[in-house]
Amino acid sequence: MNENELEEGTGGSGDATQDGAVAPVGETAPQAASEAPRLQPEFTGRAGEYFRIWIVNLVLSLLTLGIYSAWATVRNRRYFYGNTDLAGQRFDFHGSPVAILKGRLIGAALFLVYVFGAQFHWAVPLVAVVVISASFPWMLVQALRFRLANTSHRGLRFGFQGTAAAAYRAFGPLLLVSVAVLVFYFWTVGQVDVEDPENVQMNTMMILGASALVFLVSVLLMPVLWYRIRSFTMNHVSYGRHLFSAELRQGVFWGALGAAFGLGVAATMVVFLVMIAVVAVVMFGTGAVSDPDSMNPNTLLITIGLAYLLFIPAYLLPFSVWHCMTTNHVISVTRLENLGFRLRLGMMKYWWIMVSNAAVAVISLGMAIPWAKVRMERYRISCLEVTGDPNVFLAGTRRDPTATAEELGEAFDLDFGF
Amino acid sequence: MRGHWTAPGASLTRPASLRSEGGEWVVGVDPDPLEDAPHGADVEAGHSQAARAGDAGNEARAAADDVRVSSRLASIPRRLEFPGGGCFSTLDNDAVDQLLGRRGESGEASLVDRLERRWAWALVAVAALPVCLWLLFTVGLPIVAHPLANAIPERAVDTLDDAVLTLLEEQLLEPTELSLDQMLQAEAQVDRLGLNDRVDLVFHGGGDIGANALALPGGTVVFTDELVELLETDDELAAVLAHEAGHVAEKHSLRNLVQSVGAVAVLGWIFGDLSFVTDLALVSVPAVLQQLSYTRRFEREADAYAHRLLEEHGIPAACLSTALSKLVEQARGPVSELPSILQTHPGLEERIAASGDGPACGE
Ligand SMILES: [Zn+2]
Repeated sequence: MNENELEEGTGGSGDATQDGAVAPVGETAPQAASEAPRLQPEFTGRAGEYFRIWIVNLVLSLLTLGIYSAWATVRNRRYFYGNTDLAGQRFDFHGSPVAILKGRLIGAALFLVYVFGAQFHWAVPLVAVVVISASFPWMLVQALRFRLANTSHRGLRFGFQGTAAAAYRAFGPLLLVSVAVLVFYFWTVGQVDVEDPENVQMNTMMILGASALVFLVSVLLMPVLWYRIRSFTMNHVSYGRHLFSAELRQGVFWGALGAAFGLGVAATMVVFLVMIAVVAVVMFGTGAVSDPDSMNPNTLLITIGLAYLLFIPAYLLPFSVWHCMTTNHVISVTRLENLGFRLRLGMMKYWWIMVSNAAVAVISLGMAIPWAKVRMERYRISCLEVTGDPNVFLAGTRRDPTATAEELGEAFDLDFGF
Repeated sequence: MRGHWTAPGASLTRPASLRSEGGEWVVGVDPDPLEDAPHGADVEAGHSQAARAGDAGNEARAAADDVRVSSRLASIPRRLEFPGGGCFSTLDNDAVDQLLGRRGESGEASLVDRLERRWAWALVAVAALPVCLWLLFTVGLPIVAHPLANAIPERAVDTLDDAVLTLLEEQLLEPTELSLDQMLQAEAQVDRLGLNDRVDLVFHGGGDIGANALALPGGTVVFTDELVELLETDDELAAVLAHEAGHVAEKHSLRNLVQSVGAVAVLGWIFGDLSFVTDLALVSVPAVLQQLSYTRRFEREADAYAHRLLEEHGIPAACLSTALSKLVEQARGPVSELPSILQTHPGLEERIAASGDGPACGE
């Protein structure tokens, strides 16, 4: 799960505001209960403005050897939240940089252990993966708690009411199965002596079998695991004293998996065909077919390199399909008292924005990243629609406020971007 | 100034205006055109709480110093949090600054805001970005990597050697086909340069990499059969050995490992909140380029080490150049045609020049 999805949890829960077209709050008569007002959230950020914030904070982070980066994150997030408008009111982010720094230190430590460990012993990454998986529910709860408790709209705070224990109950067993499969795989591969000439066939069969099994199990686990995770998170988000509810359907996740898989295979095949065609054209064009020695090896290398770039969009396609189908569903079945939500991300449009953003970001040597982020956010927010009256919610916590404060002291921010 | 007032305890938000009266700030909430509450008990509760928030029905007031004002950031709304829990928010940032007057804003937020507001500073930052990254990679990371590489325990490094060698034997290298005499000839160079404690010489068929020599971090040096056959003379073998011993002595593999992991970690840290695609592009491109420039610097260091070692033992430093020329000669292929920034070795001319004006090899 990366930052975007965390934000979506926030956005989906909170993007409840009414748009300007419906009339500023309090100035018109509320509509009859039967036809709830439709609110169109809007993202008002501008690329030029955000570019200045982004570049200044980036350089400050570098100049302070990374320490300022937590403060930079807060400013970036405040900009995005503060430009998300629902019913004439913006969202607010209140997070403290120190908590973000804490989360980043944890992330960096995990990364270093993983990468360095791998150089010295093959089992280190495996242990790291097991530890990370085992602590994932706990980390997820901590991160959501931090993110949501520091988000507000119309003066009311969001919150996350789920506990780590509940998270383990909800999807711990499934995680256990995934980890067990992974350990089994590495164990099998570790056991097999590839060089042993007497059992080549047998060993190859074992490795292939283990790989197939791991692939199958992880593919079959994914829809269930994601269904459980998103169901758990959406149903524990609070706004003021009110709780969000979402009755997810597991079938949608299976459908998304099927669509993503099918389109992924199709896209990969298209890319292969294009690659073969391009190489063939180059070979004929340079006359290398009749005389292979006349071929400049660099030409071929560059051609293959360019064709290889096509794999990036092909790989983003199934990701985009999966993301749009599942997120649309999750948000659209979410309710908050009288508020209903509807999200209509177009998977092709989403895919196109991701691909073109990546291309523009690389071509501009990174300078267009702010533009790309603003563009994506504007699209995502424009796909959301909220119905209902956002004026009726009450503050208050469902739990002992001192306990909440203590837990918040332990909370940290994790981006799951790694 | 115009804005919205959110009553304490509820999400009810209504248009309002704020004015300064002496030392107090007063929020006047616009009258609700329809007093009859819409639907539901929650709404009524919200309305009544909002009403209670204002002292005189539709007003809230507080001493200016008790109101917490959020720091300015681009054009997002300012929050003015009143002591009772109510909040006045407005898009009129200039008016808020004016109201704050001399109290103003302090701390890093207002400084950063001033930088963010001007295009001139943004352009300065654009210019500073590559300079900062360059300094980080060429000065910062190497300084940090050196002591870190030294701190990695000997035992761990030996394990690493074994692991790498096993991997190379599986993937790349073949069993040696050298004669005993050839091996002894090369082994003799280890003795001759006094490297017995530090270097562990092994031989392998080169396979795809042909004539080549590799130095692993723990002191294992691999000579390929093709190399030993190519460099017939003792002096040339000694020169290549001295160069590889330079890599070992300067802990180049470990420093390289620490630096490349460090580069990715630093960039990931600073660019932390990017989506993964741009992340990948931004992190991998400079990482690859800096990796290549490290390698070139390491080659120069190893050459310098070799020159010193050879001269100490009365071997002309030029022998390294001769040996390198031979290697380059037989390896002429696609790599040598790439532009110099993409080559892992500094230009041959540069390295030959670095060997100085000593006696020629083989004299
Ligand atoms: Zn070298």
